[in-house]
Amino acid sequence: MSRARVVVVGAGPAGMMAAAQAARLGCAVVLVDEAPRPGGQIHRQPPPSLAGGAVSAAARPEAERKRRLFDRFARHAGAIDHRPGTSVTAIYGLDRILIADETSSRLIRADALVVATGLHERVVPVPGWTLPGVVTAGALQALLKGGRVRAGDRIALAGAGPLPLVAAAQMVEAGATVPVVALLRPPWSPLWPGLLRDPAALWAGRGVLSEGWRWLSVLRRAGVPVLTRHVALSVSGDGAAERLVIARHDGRGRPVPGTERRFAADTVAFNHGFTANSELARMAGAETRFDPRRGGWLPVRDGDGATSVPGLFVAGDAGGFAGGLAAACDGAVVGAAAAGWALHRDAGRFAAQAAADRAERARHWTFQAALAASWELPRDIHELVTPATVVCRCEGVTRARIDRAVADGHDGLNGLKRNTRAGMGSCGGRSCLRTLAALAGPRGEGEAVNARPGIRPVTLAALANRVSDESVGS
Amino acid sequence: MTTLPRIADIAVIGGGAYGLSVALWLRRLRPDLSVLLLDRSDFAGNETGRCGAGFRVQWGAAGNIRLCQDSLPSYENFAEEFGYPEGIEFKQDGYLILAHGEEQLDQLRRNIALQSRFGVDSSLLTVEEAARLAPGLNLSGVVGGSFCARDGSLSPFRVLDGFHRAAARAGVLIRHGVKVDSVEPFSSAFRLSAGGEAIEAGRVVVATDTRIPQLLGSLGIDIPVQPYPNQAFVTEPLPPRLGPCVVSFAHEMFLNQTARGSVVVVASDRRRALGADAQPTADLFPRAAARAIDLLPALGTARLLRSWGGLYSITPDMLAVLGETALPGLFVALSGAKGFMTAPAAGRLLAQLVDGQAVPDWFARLSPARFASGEELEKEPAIV
Ligand SMILES: Cc1cc2nc3c(=O)[nH]c(=O)nc-3n(C[C@H](O)[C@H](O)[C@H](O)COP(=O)(O)OP(=O)(O)OC[C@H]3O[C@@H](n4cnc5c(N)ncnc54)[C@H](O)[C@@H]3O)c2cc1C
Ligand SMILES: Cc1cc2nc3c(=O)[nH]c(=O)nc-3n(C[C@H](O)[C@H](O)[C@H](O)COP(=O)(O)OP(=O)(O)OC[C@H]3O[C@@H](n4cnc5c(N)ncnc54)[C@H](O)[C@@H]3O)c2cc1C
Repeated sequence: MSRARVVVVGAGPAGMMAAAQAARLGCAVVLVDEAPRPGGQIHRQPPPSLAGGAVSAAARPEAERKRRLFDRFARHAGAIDHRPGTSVTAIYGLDRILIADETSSRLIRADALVVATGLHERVVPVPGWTLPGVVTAGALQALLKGGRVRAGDRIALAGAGPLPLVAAAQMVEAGATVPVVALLRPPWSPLWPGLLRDPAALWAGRGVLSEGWRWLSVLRRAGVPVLTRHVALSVSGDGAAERLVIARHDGRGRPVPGTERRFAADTVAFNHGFTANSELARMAGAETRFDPRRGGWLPVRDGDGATSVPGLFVAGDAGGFAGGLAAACDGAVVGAAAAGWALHRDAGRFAAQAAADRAERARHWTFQAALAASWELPRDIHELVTPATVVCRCEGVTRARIDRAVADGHDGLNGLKRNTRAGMGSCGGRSCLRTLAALAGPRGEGEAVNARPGIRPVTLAALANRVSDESVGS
Repeated sequence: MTTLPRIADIAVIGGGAYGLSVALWLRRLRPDLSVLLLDRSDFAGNETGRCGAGFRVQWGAAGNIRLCQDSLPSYENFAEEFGYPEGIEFKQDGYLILAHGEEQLDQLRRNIALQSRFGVDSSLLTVEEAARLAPGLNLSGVVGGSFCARDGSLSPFRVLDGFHRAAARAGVLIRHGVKVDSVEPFSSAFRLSAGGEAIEAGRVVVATDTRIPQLLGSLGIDIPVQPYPNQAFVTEPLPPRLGPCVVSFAHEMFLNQTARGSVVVVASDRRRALGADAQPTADLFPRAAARAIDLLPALGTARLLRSWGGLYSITPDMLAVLGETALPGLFVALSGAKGFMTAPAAGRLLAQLVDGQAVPDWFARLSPARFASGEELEKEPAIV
């Protein structure tokens, strides 16, 4: 019989650690990742030809974390069948996982499957958000980290949580002018009450806090105005973004009349939090619950990352936002549990081996739980989505059309999607489903949309060219 | 969920294309009667939301030809007839049925002869003519085809939305999220039970397609329908690659580039067993993607958007079952796996029948009584 096999989807911090751990514990490991190089969202790597270059003081902690992660991964990389540039596009059962690259596809079997697919950004659509020059804050980072490209010269940012601040500072260091960072709430204020009660969490978060402090210093030195309790009203321009209009809000997200301010910019970047990439877990049948702060429809999982489907595990931010440090620890914990399941049908078998990671994860989780409040969107934020605003850009569906469908009684997310076609386009609903759910009313967030085979845009030629599984993981 | 009425003149169970169309026409014919439509899921929850979006009059059995022929004007004039100015994305570029071999060509010839008896403007094509209509197709092995220019593709979501809105406007009370557990005769009417609630209805139309036997079996009413799990997938929007819809029996496949540019591929598998498990199977892509590329080579570089499974309602003759059951006042509306294209006429004529009006003979022959009559059934040969 062949060796017990753990398949890990996603080579971010969580997936890398899960793969390394399972390999260390004696499993055959296949690590499937869409990106050309490991690292995931946070440690996205440029192609080798663009690598190198100086690291700024503010960027040093992240670089240091990255080095530790890659070192730990490298120790077991020889025992991991890493498949970059490959996506998992369907799960028909743990014994039939469909993976594909540009030219071929294959069905692979897993004794335990770890979904570590991370999350994607959420944006609240305001008038003008579909103009060229409007991007997400993460896209700014991805262009910079993955291709050494600065998205614009004058970049205004708006949204929630700390990401717009971090991205703004990175843009300043890359030489851009940042006319404003407008945040719905100060990301630091919800932190303190919780942290002061829990010194261990404060200690665990010290790295992130001091890093945040350094990024803020970069902004302060550059004279970038950081306006909190402000809401983005619109982006406007002649065929492309030229200015961002913001206003103070009343605490619920409604603009206070007379406080509008406009900022000239060639690029506007938004981030209103994250949505977990939970499609694969849902396609495999995992139960979910809705958590507005930590990423929407999250697979229900226990402390080992085990879901309601035997043998299916979720690791890292795909289970809900907790940041890169927690993701790495979580990956190590879940990797041990997946190995225990694959080898002995006992997820707890190697628990002792992951005790240190588990303890560290707990501290990060406490810290992140305090931070999560900064992603809470004000109650009336969607009032800013005007009737003519396009909510689903793939299918060109406006808010007015969505409101009409809800008034017709289609207020469950799946029915609303079928009625309006919002979320049916090329991006698979990534950019609009959270908005759709919010606009649907009380039932909207209650159900996740159905996850159907074919979640990644693989060519039909690659799907037609199915090769056998024999060479995988051996 | 708002509360359910306890009583209705007519209850329609199922809010797909068939149920909505019949409910809408019932109220249009009889604004004096209350019509209640119950559906267990959300909008477009079952087969209508999963169909291939094709329309063709080119069938080989009179009942199918007539239903489609009578439905066509409703789709051509949908905006006016149903008060739906948004449009239903009807791409009326025709429908091409390919014959690989003389036997298939003979069948198409017979079908066209039958179609022309009803005034359908379809014609037999040479390979060269087929190539001119659809230059992107690989026609190797093809000996000819059949074509009708008024056929085409249209959006099931738009159509269903149009029916839904028109039905609501006409006064049909529509309740989603209500599963009917049973239907029983009760004095001279019927009692429906739904999640513990009882509803009394004078007449009942059951429009739950393959799920009809679940509701009627316990009454001793045998509607011969079997579910066949079919599958489909759709690509990202592409530049125009295919004008007409295309059926190839040799590829077991239906191709349709919709008005939005996406290509929908319905990929049957003759070897797949009957059954109600519609989950897509892992062998779909190597089998069907390869065949789709063989038929339309430009699909090789197209990217998949998603795939899904759905149930064909297989009847012994592959025709719809529309009419009154052995229990007076209890009607069925069963699609025979072409319910999207036939819904306008099926709903209108069945509503007439429910109301006690005369219906054309050909429609009366679609009644469930045909299976018990012992007469020979006219079977539909032109199914992929
Ligand atoms: C845009 C963005 C910016 C962020 N910026 C910061 C930041 O500045 N600081 C910070 O602390 N945190 C940041 N985060 C959060 C940070 O990314 C995470 O905490 C951390 O990367 C989570 O690690 P992970 O391993 O769970 O997932 P990720 O690092 O996201 O890794 C997931 C991997 O899965 C792959 N993948 C997804 N789906 C599939 C599939 N179907 N098939 C194959 N591969 C797949 C992806 O390509 C990716 O490589 C950011 C997140 C996002 C989305
Ligand atoms: C892959 C595929 C491709 C197809 N392609 C085409 C095509 O191109 N053209 C075409 O014309 N046809 C096509 N068909 C067939 C077509 O989809 C069906 O014939 C048609 O949709 C049936 O409509 P309906 O209203 O009878 O059923 P449905 O649309 O299934 O509606 C039945 C409704 O009943 C409800 N229901 C079920 N049980 C209960 C209950 N107990 N209580 C309350 N409600 C209940 C369901 O929620 C559902 O909404 C295709 C089918 C498939 C699977």
